[in-house]
Amino acid sequence: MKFLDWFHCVYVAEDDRYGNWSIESGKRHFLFMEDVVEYMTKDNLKKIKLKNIAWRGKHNYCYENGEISNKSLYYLNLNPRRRYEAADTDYPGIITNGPNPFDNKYIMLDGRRRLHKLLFNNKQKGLFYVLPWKKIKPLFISDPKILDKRYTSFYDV
Amino acid sequence: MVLEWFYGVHTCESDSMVGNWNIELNKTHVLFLEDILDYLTKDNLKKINLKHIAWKYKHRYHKDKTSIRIIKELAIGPKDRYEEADINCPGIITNGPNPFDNKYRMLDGRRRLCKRLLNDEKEGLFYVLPWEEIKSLFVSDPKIIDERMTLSEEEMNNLKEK
Repeated sequence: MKFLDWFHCVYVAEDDRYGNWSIESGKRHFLFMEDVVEYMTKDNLKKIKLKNIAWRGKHNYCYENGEISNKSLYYLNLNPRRRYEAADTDYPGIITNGPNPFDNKYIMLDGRRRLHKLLFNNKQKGLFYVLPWKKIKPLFISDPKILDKRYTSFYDV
Repeated sequence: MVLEWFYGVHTCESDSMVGNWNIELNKTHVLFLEDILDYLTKDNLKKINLKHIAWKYKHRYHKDKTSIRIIKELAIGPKDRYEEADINCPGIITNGPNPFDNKYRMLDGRRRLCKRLLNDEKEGLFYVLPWEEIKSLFVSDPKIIDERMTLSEEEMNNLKEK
């Protein structure tokens, strides 16, 4: 059995129940995380205020004492619990200065659970790879044929 | 029978579709707009970048959707109320907490703001109320809310005469 690496996942830009996260009207785009690995450099690693980052489910965030509730896991789109618990805040999340429905400075691409854990622990800032929107925008794919090919290639590793 | 606009309220509550607009953990608060009339002064009138304002359903906004779909999805209906919204009347905002972490929070004027956005406007005139001063005007006691939301017989008669 083969295990996929973390970067064999995608960020989906679409209009869903968490808001309008699409980058082009009426279209769904995918960003393959393996395509942005080269931008995860020391130069792009920055300390960022958590309030400046838009993430799916952020508008439902509510501080809770103790353990995160199942309700929050659901409404903040952080399920499953085992994945939330395994999230390690020592690994920087990935963000970009792209458009987002909250009009925040940055948009989260990877690391929602880690960011939530930081907030939950009353942290105000965190380390993030800040990717330049202008460079990564062309990496978003909407063509179904290309998507199909790319998804299949995950299993050729 | 039409009530004056300031008989409206701004509700601070948590709803999974709209977001967590609470100002205190697990408590619903109501701001009666008639309580903030004193703050609608020329000094508080400012030109504000629309991007800096958090408003209920903002995260669902999509400028390319048809107006009917916008009205439905952003809960700014009924249609006639949306159409009557006059963008020349400034909205009311405050620099208070909000679920989007924006600089300002909308208290009154969601339809007007939405109209401006659909007109591709970037800025608008708003009464900016100081959060530290108006915070104490938010009411959470259900008895007081109930009492204040019920019109007296005299008020009812006045309305009928209008």
